[in-house]
Order: sequence, then structure tokens, then C-alpha cells
Amino acid sequence: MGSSRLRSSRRADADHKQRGGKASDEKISSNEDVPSYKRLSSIDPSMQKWYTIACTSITAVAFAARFYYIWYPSEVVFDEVHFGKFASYYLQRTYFFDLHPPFAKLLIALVGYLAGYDGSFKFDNIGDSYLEHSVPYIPFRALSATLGTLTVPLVFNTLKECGYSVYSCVFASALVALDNAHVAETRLILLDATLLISVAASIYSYVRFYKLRRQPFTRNWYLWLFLTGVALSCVISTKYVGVFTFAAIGVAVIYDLWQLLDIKKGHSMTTFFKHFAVRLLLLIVVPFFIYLFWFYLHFAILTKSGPGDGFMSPEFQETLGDSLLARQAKDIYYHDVITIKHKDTECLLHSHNFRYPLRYEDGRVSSQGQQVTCMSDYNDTNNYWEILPASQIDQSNHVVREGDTFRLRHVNTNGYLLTHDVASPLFSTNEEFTVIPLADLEKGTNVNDTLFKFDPFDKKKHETLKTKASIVKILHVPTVVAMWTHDDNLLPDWGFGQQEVNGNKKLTDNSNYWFIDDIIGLSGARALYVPKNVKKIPFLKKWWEAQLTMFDQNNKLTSEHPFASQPEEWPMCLSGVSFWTKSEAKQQIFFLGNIPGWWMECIFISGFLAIILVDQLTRRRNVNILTDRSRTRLYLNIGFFFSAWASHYLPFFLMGRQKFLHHYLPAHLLAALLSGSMLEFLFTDNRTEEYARDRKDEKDAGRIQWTAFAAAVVGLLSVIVWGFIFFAPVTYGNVSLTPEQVQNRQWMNMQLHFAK
Amino acid sequence: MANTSKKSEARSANPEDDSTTELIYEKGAMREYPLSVLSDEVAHKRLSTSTHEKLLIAALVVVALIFRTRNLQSPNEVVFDEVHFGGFASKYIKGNFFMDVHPPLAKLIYAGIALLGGFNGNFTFEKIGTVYPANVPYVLMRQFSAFAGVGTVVLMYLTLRATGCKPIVSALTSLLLVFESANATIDRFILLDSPLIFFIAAAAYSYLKLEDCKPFTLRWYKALLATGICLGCATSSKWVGLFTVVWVGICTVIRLWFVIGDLTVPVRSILSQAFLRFFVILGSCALVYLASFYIHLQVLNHEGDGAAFLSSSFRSSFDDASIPKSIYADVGASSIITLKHLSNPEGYLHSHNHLYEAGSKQQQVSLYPYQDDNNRWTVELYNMSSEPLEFIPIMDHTKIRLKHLATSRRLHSHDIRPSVSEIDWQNEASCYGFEGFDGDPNDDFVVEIVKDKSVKGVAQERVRAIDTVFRLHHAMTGCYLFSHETRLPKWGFEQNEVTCAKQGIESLSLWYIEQNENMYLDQLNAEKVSYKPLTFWQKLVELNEAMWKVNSGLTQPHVYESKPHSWPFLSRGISYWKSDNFQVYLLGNPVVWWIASFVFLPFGFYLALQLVRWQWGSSIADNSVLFNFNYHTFEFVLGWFVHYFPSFLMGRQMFLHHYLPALYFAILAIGQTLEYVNSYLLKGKKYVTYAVFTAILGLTVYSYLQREPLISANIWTQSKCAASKIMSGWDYDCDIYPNEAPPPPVISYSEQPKPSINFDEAINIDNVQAPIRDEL
Repeated sequence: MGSSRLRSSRRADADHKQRGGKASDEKISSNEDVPSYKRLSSIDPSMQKWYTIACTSITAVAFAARFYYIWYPSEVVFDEVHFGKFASYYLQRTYFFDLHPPFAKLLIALVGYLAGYDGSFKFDNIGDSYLEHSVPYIPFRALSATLGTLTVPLVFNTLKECGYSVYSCVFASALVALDNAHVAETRLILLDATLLISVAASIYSYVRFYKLRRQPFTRNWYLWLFLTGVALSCVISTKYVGVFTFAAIGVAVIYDLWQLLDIKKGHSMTTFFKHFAVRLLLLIVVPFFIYLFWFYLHFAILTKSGPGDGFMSPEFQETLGDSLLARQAKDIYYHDVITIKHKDTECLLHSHNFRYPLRYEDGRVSSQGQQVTCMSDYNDTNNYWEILPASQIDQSNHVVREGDTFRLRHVNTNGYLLTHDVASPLFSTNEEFTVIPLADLEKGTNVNDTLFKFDPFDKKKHETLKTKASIVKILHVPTVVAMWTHDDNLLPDWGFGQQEVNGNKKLTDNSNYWFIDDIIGLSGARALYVPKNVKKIPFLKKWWEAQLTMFDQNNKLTSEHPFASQPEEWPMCLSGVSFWTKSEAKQQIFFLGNIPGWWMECIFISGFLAIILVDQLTRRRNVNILTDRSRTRLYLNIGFFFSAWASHYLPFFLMGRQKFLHHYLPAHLLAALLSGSMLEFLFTDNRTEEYARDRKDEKDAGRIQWTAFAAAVVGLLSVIVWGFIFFAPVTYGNVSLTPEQVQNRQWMNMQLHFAK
Repeated sequence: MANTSKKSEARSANPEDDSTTELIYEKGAMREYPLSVLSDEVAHKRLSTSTHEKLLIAALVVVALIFRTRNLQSPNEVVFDEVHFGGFASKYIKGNFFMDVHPPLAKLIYAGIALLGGFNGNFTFEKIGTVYPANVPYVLMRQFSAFAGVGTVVLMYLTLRATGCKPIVSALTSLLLVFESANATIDRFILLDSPLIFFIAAAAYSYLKLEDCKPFTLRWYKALLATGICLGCATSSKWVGLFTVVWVGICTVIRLWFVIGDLTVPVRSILSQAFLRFFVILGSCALVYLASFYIHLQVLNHEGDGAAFLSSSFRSSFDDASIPKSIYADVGASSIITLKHLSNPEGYLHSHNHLYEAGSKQQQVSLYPYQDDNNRWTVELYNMSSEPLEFIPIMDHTKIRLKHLATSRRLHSHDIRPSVSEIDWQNEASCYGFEGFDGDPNDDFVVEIVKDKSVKGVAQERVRAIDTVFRLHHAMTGCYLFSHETRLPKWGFEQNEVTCAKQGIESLSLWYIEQNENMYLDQLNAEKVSYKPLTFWQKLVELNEAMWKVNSGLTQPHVYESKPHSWPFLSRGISYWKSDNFQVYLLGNPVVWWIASFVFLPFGFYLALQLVRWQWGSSIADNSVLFNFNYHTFEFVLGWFVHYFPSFLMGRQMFLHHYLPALYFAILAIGQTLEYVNSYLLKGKKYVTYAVFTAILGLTVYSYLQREPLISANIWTQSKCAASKIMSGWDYDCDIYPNEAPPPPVISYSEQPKPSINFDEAINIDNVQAPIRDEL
């Protein structure tokens, strides 16, 4: 070890010799003495113009990326199934249960309300068409896209407030603006756009607050602290990952308080406790009340019973009034005469005293049995069917349950519904439905062919079958086909142009659903609607019950999902999630990041850790390479971004529930901030005097090498733009790719569709 | 801090003779720093060289021997997990391969001792409570366990001495370990925990010894090597030893941090220290681990009951392997084959004359790990109704059908959800048809050879037994024949489910052909293939993966399992063995247990207080005793944490004795705390200190004696037993003991139902994993 090194460190602050790590802390306070243009996080007023121009342009780019093809696909994509559905429930005011807190869902519902939508579409399946059901999905998506766009200037300005150059700000915000994962997630009806902008706003507000730390208890100081609290409450009211944002800000607050505890700086304990109390109030108490407020709204809106009832206690359920559906839903008993409606085409199951022709036009032969069709005339008594139990033992008033096996008797012709292995009139692959007279049935051979079964939506529960409310498949027991009808190709004249009913072998088909439309001739007590007596329980009690149920259900989310992934795969974006596919056009939306951009972040994170390690080790050996100013920047500013990234990422390793790539997005956003600041740090001359012999001018200390820096930013930006465009086809799903093109994009473990 | 230089002088010239701690600050250019190497004088004081001390150690050994080795022959029946570890000894002696979740070292030692004692392996230790026959040297085996326990006690004494505790404190703390009931209990039986804790204690001692030595001296090298070897022994006894490796790793980093800060140590020396520590410790640890497995595999050369967990290539290496050793290579039309699922799980495609009770209700198809006639299938071309006249090879993309030889039904798939995995992307796979049935298009499967998994050459072009890995692509629905860990219910004999998956993980849809007979091949000269023998390394990796899988699969509830959060409170013990009038019940000594488990609380509070004081400007760690106390107590509390906390993350069943390694470190932390009391808090008040120590020891011994009959299965009385139950969760059975008082009225006690314990449910992996053989 050279003696010169030892000698040259003599100027170091003698007072704090013994406490190596503390030197940097002292430097913060000594910022007061530094001329203002040299202060950290101050901006040359003449540059203001450039910041404005750059921020506007990158926001415009973000806007374009998120609104491009926002109308496409006009179908339900991935988790829009959930969050679209929840908006509909809000609009119909029927109670539902979800694991996430209500804030972001309320926002989506608000958009639906402003768009004048009634919430009748329930977003049941990925791929359901919006256009056919006239859902205002573009305003819904525009909400996400707008919030996603606004996240970008927040990132830009966070770095700007920290005193970084235009280049850094542009680079960091481009990492977010042109990231395929951010774009995919923030142009669909999902919660993440709200989550991300709230996280970005929390960080931004806290940075603004921290900059005012030398003017405590002023108006602006209170304002930014309050806004930090508000933003934090928005995060936690959107998803519980908000806890990690609280942790990120919490670490910074604890550090800050720890500094204030250093009473040698002249703070009194009274001041310290005042600081502590104000933070407690504005960062914990106020956000908690805002959080509660959303639940208050949630319960105030959802006053009718709905699909979420089952999760709650009976006491809770009594606070929910009957929904329109519940008013009409009546229990069905065996031997009731009912009409059965097909969910998609809204026709009623029908039979009449005419037979199938022996021979069809294409030459195939029928059973010549009695026709079974589906028709839209609701007043025909030929639509009446009596529901009978599978075995004759149950003669009493026995309620019908989902999952039960039953027979259907056609009332007018006194025959039994049956299907068998004979091709249907229009589909050679599907089974023919017919009605067989009681006499034939008693001969015995095909008794079992008249057995059917209600296959409920939710297989776990065998709930009572209710008119209108219970949506079921009707499965034939012996041959396992589902009763099905279609309106694209009607029966010819012999069938009076009615819809064909046949047995569909594709059990998973979305058009297999039927429900019981009405019970005929209902009288007496069963015909009357008894309005439910709605009770009230205090809000806090309701909230507490809902809260406990949410945590309880969250812990049960451990089932496997084909696209679930593990946290170690995330930073490098090793796998993705299939959001939506369209086989005919070979189009797909596949959720993945701008992989080159993600890798840059990884490099910057590793670089940060490497520099910290080297700095710690060298300082331990009394070798001071970095100037105190640079170390402050490295440890306090970049370190803050790093700890925020770490607290949004590392806890996932401890979580047992199923995890997806999109859980990494908040961490990705924070890593973008880190990357922007690290890039500038790398191009700054951070060396202390004795390690900068080549430096000619003392003033050059801390100067940025502008040419190289600009070149690097331009180079990295072009890679980001290329990456974004390269993966754009699977982000927007608007372009059909050839198998080779798909294969080119299957980096790492990406399981893209249509690769063959 | 103007007076720093003075202070440092005062500290270096330590006035007391008997001080075993020192803290010398050197003045640096920017800050002062503590020296990282102990002076010879102090290092010497940490050795037990004086005659007095040798006598003290001898006394300690005598006490430990008395309490550990007395009456080991009682009970003369199989106790708790002796079922396993005794049983493994018998299998080692006979050379039958078995599967166990633990690495082999401790088991091998027990087997070696049994062999020395003249055991011939003919006793199988099948049930808890079986009486030992005369030819089983069970007392000798238990003696090994007991001696390891005595060794642990001595190691604790030496460890504490090496970290600067006075002899009296070290002796006292070691006595706490002697009278720690749970340790006393496990040290009496043929269990892995006793050698494991011994090895962990030895590793901790050698590591701390290493820190006392001057780097690069002979002693230093010896300690370094010893640390690695002891860590290796611990890891080779149970995987818990890995936590000890982690602990040594963290402590080394902390230590190096001080060394780096010591500017008197040159950079080169730091680098070579770090390098040597890393490579010698990890290297020797790994070598021991490998060696233990090498011996394990050498000894077990027969295909025993554990072979079902292994791959075919592994199994073919056993002396009496049942796996075919040479098979006709070329597979063609009308070949009779067995089709094997490549991995996770391995097994043969199997069918039998039983129907699915759900889905299509056609004949079941499953995956079955054992060889069986129902694994045999005939390969047919999809369009060939009659027998071919010559050999027709199966090429890549050939469309084939598989006909089950015994039932003449063909492998079939259709758009029906399987009975267990009712998922959209899963189709059922079944057997369908009858004798003389021509088949239907849903029987057609296309062979897709996976080129990069197959052996290079012809095996990539056409299907060859063993060498070719392929997928079976269902022609009609596009799904792939698939199997996974999911099992069929009782009606499917709990065999693994086979489905046809549209989106499944690719590696679960890989198959190869193990047996192959074809009448059109030249029976004498046709080319044959066999499994490639595995290298030791491949076997090791496979065995460890299988152990890991079995270990994670140990999740079914056990009567005496407990959750990690309950351990520090000692809320319940484990019934190890019970007869009509005696029992063995694992329970800690509550005095030691509770103090040890919660010693981290006052220490953590003390640390927090010190930190705040430091922030307020006072200096900390300027006293050598305090510094030593902080440093080593932190190390020991960390050791407790590192051995305890991971239990919370494990999904498998957990038992109270899993806490014992952590407890060992916690007791070490008690030792350091007592030293703090002795040399700092009550310094100069010798008699007060002695009074405190005597009180602690007295309480401990009393508490030990109070429940002693539970440890050595001694006679006891009902009332004493009832009086000893301080906690309501301690569910040992007091009713089995005689009542010394005149018998109470008949109704009151005698009619009470006794809690009955099903000892058969003690951890037994044989019950856990092996699929039920069906009788076909």
C-alpha cells in the first residue's frame, strides 16, 4: 500500500475519524455551505427549457405507445375478465368479493358510469366480443392508458428533481415509456396502471419532500409530505403490494429520523418527536383513513346481493338487498313444469308432434324420432317440460340442485327427452335429440339415454337450481355430450325454420350454457316475492370482516397457473404470460418486457452493487477514490432508488402464492430511476484529487463527460426503441406473424403461440 | 475524541492477569481501528493447559458420562426412529439399497458399529416396541450416541473457552447442556441427532479456534482443515449441516471485515486468507460429503426396496439388477415394447382391466414404476390391419397405434377431461376397443423424435430402444401423451395419472422404449443396446435429487409433529416409546430451554440501546470484555437464528428435535452472557456471582431430576408425574405409573380412556412414497 495514499487523506474530517461510515452523513449537512449551483439536486435555470421540451416529447411518445390500436382487440383480454366484471358489478350495485382493495376498481367503474354503461356484460371469458355486447371498452382502456402515460413524466421529473441532466431523465423515462410490459399492462382494463402511477407519485412526492428538509414545518413541507401519504394510500388501496411501497418510503423515513436523532447537530428531542409525530400522522394515519374511505364507498355502492355473498357471514349477507336477479330467482322443485332457455341465442327448448325425416338432403339417415328444436316464441305450450328425478323414489317436494341427474318430460306429447348416438340433422359429428314416448321407454332398452345432468359453472358447490340465476350446462349422462343449439344455420322447412338442438361433444364450448327461464303455473307462496328485510351493521365491522376474508382467500391462492413464474426469472424477463390469442389470424398478445431494456436495468443494478462493494472495501483500507459529494449521491440518492427497488422485489421470494411477471413492474419502474441515475454517475468524474492526476483543472471535479454521455444515451435509446418495435407485434396483437418471426421472438423461455 | 490515543494505550496495557479478552486500537490516518489478531498472551489464556483446568475437564467428562451412559439397555425395545436408523444399519450390512432423506455418514457409522458388535443384519427393527433379540448389539449402538453426547459437552466447554469465557463459566454452561433433558434423551438412542449435534459442535469449535490463531501458522491451518471436515461430517449426517456452513460463511465475512479494517495486515495476506478460507473449508466439506456417498454406494450393491426411486440407468448398475441389460435396438411394427416416461416421475406406461370411475369410464391408463406384464404394448402402424411380412422400422413422424398386450385394447385419447386433472388443456388417455376391433382414428399417435435428447446418429432418425427419446402426438386432437406426479384415486391404485396434454410442460411428455422384442429381427445377430453405466457423479446428483423430492414430499400429518413457532416455548414434546409402566418422552429442560430460546431478546434490546447511544455521540465497544461479549454473542445468536429460522420456510413435517442444533447455539449464547455477568456486570463481586451461578445450576438440575423418568424410562409415580406437568401441552401419560397412595374409588380414574398412540405412523418413508402394487 503506497504511503502517498495515507498521507493524502489527511484533510478528511478529523472529528469523525472513528466512525468511518458517518462521514457521508455529515456531508449532507455541509451542503448548506456549498454554493447553490453546486448543491445536489439543483438545476441551472437556463436548462429549464430543455427539460420541458424533453419531458413533453417523451410523454407524447408514451401517449402514442399506449393509445396506438387501443380499440384492438375488441375482445376480452386476460384479466379484463376480472376487472371488467367488477366494474359491471359496481354499475349494477351487486355485491362481489375480490382480493384487491377497491380504489382502482372504483376508478374503472367511474369511467363506466360516465360513459353511461349499465354493466350488463359480465366479461365471462377471454375472447368474448365487446362489440356484440356494446361495452364501452375504449373509455375503460383509455383510463389505463392515460394513467400509464402520466407515469412517464413522473419518472422524468423525479430524476429532474434529484438534479440529473436531461439525458438521464430521458433515458430513465424511455425505459418506462417504451417498455412492452408497461405498455401491455397499461392499455388494458387492469389495475396495474393505477398501481404504477401511484408508486411513481409516492417516490416523486417523497423526493420533493426530502428536498425541503432544511425548511421543516413550512407549508410546502407539509404539502409534499401529505401528498406522499396520499399517493401511498392510493398504492395500498389498489393492491396490497403497496405494503412494499410503504416499506420503501419507510426505510427512507427511518434513515431521515435517524439523522434527526443525532442530537449533536442541535436538534432537541422535542423537535425530534415533532418530526416523528408529523410523519406518523401524514404517512400512516391519514393514508389509513383514505384507505377506509374507499371501502366505505365500496359498501355504499354495493347494496344488493350478488356473487360475493357466499364469501361473507350470514350477518353480513343480511345487509344486502335483493338484486333484480335475486327477485326473479326461484327455487325449482322436482315435478315443476319449466321452460329452458339457451343463454346465447335466447331461444326456448321446444318439441312438437312432428318427426325428423327418415333421410336428409345429404343422404344421411335419421332415427325418425320426434323433433326437438329451439324457438323464440315464448307463448307456445310446446316449450313446457316437467323435470323429473332420476329415480322414482323422490315423490315429495324435493328441491333440484346443480349437479343433479334428472329426466325431462315433454308435457304436451307426454314423451321423454333423449339423445343417442345418431347424427343430428345438421351436424354429422353431433348427437341427435329427440323425444321418446313413455310406452317405448317402458320397453326398457334406452331408459338410461333419458338421463341428463346439470353441470354447474362452479363444480365445488351443489347449490339449489334457481330460475334465471343458475347458469348450467345440460350434459347427457351415458354419452357425455352437452345439449347445444345454434342460430347460424336453421332447420329446413320440415323443422319450420327453428333452431336445431343437438349434443355437442365439445363440452368446453362457451355456447353450451342454458338456464331455467320460468316455472309454469306457479301459485301460492312460491309465486309471491317476499322482499328481503335488509339490516344494517356498522361500517367498521363490515370492513373488518371483508378485510379478514381477503387475507384468508389470498393465502389460499396457491394453485398452479401455466404462466405463473418465479421471482428469480423476473429481472431478466426470462418468461412471459399469454394474454390473448386469435388462432385464425395467428395473432396474440403476449406479456413480456422490452428485454434489452430490462437487461440494461440489471446491468445498472449490478454496477451499483459492485461500486458500493468496492467503495466499502477500499475505504476500509483508507483508500478514498470517490469524492464525498459523489458518495452522497451514490449512497443517498441512488441508494434510495435501490432500496425502493429491493423492497418491491425481494419480498416476493418469501411469498408462497402464485406469482406473475407483472408483479415485477413496480420494481422495474424503480430500477428505471436507478438506471438513469447510475448512467449519469458513470459518466461523472467522481474521483478525489489524488486519483485524478490527469485532471488539469480543479474545477473539473464532478464534471460530466458530456460527449461520451450523450453518445451512450443515444446508443442505449436506439436499442430501447429497436427492442420495443421488435416485440410490438405481440404487445399489441395487431400483426400476424409467420412462424419464423414468432420463433425469432421466443427469447429464453418465452412460450409464444403459433411458433409452428 | 481528543483522548483516543491515551485510551488505546490504556486498553493495550491490560492490567488484569486473567483477562481472556483484549481490544487493541491502532491509530490510523483517518480513524482508529482494532487489531484483528489476538496477542499470544491472551490466546494462550484461552487454552486449557493448566493442571487445574485439566482436572476440571476430567470432572466434567465424568459427570457427563454418568448422566449419558447409565442404564442404556433400558428399554430393551425399539424406540421411535430406531425403527429407521437401526433398520438402515441392517440394510447396510446386507447391502440392500434403500432410500432415505438423510445423507449416509451417521447411518454408516451406526452400521459399522453394529457390524463390530457382531450384528448380521437379520433383525429389521420393524416396529416401535419390538423387543431386541440377543444378537442385536443395540446397547453398543446406543453407546456411540451417548459418547457423541459426552463429546458435545466437552466441545461446548472448549468452544466457550476459545471465545474468551473463564473456566468456571464454561464449565457451568456445559453442565447446563448435560442436564438439558432433550439432549440427554436423544443421546440415549440410535438416532442421527446425537452425531449430528456433535459434528456441528466440532465445526463451531474448530471455526472459533481458527479465529484465535495467527493466520498461516500451523495451528491455523489445522483449525481451517478441521472446520471444513467437521462441516462435511455434519452435512453428511443431515442436511441441517448446511445451515452450519452458512453460519460459518456469515461469521467469516464479518471476521474478514475486521481484518480488512486492520491496516497492519497487508492486502496480500487478506486476499490469501479469504481465498484459503473459502477453498479449504468448502473443498474439504465437499470431499467428506462425496466420500460418504461413495462408501454408501459401494456398500449398497443390491437392488433393495429403495430402487423404485431410481432411474433405470442407475438400477442397471446393481449386482442383481432386474432391469434388462441388453435389448434389441431397432423398434418396428409389431414390436412388443415397454414404454417408459423419461422423468418426474419415471415409470412404465401401464394399463389393466379396470375402468376409470369418471370421465369416459373406459379402461385406465397409468404410469407404474415396477416391472409388470401389464406394461407391455404392441406397436402397430395406424393403417396396417394385418401383420406385416417383414421388419418395418418406426421412423420420425410415423403414425402408430399402441395395443395393450394383455387386454387387446388400444391406447386412446379424446376430448374428455381426465378424472383427476380436470383442466381445459388436459385430455383423457384411456384404453379402448376389444379383441378384433380395428381401432378408430383416436388411437393414432404420431412419433415425434426429440433429436437433442436422443443419442446422436440413427437414433435421431428412427426409433431405437433406450437411445431414442420421443413424444407421442395425438393425431386427432394435437395433444401429447403426458404424465406427472398427480396420482389417481384409490380406484386407480394410486398410480400416476397419464393424460394427453395440449399445453403441458414439454419435459413431462418425453418417453423412450425400454424393452423391445420383434419377431422380424434376426434373433441372434440383431444389434442390441443397453443403459449407459452412470458415473459416480451422475449417481450422486440423481440420488440427491431423489432425496430432496422425498424430503419435500414428507407432508402428511404426524401425531407428534409440531410447528417451528411453538419450539422456543417448549409447548409439547414427543412420545418416543411407551410400555405398560414406563415411557420415553422427548422434552427439553424448561429452565435451560426457555433461557436459551429467549436470550436473544435482552441481547437485541441491549444492542438497540447501544446503537442509539452511539448515534447520540457516546463511543461503544471501548472495553475489551464488552467488545468480546458483543461480538461472540452476536455470532451465537446468529447461529441460533440460522439453524432455526429456515424451519419456517419448510413445508415438510417438523419435529421438536429439529430445534436442537439451534438450541446448542442458544446455550453457547447463554455462556457468553454469563461471562458478561461474571467479568463485567458483577466484576469483583465474586460471591454474588457464585450465588447466581449456583442458583441457575441448582434450578436446572432440579428441573432435570423432576422429569428424569421420562428420559431413561424409569419407575415413577402418578402423583410425581402429574406434579411435573408445568405446561398443559406436555401430554405424556401419567396413568401408566403406579399410584403410591391407596387406590382411589374405582370409578374416578380407572375408567378413563387412555390416549392411544399409533406408533406405526412414525415417519416411515416406505409408507409414504411407494405406490401400491395392484394385483394383476
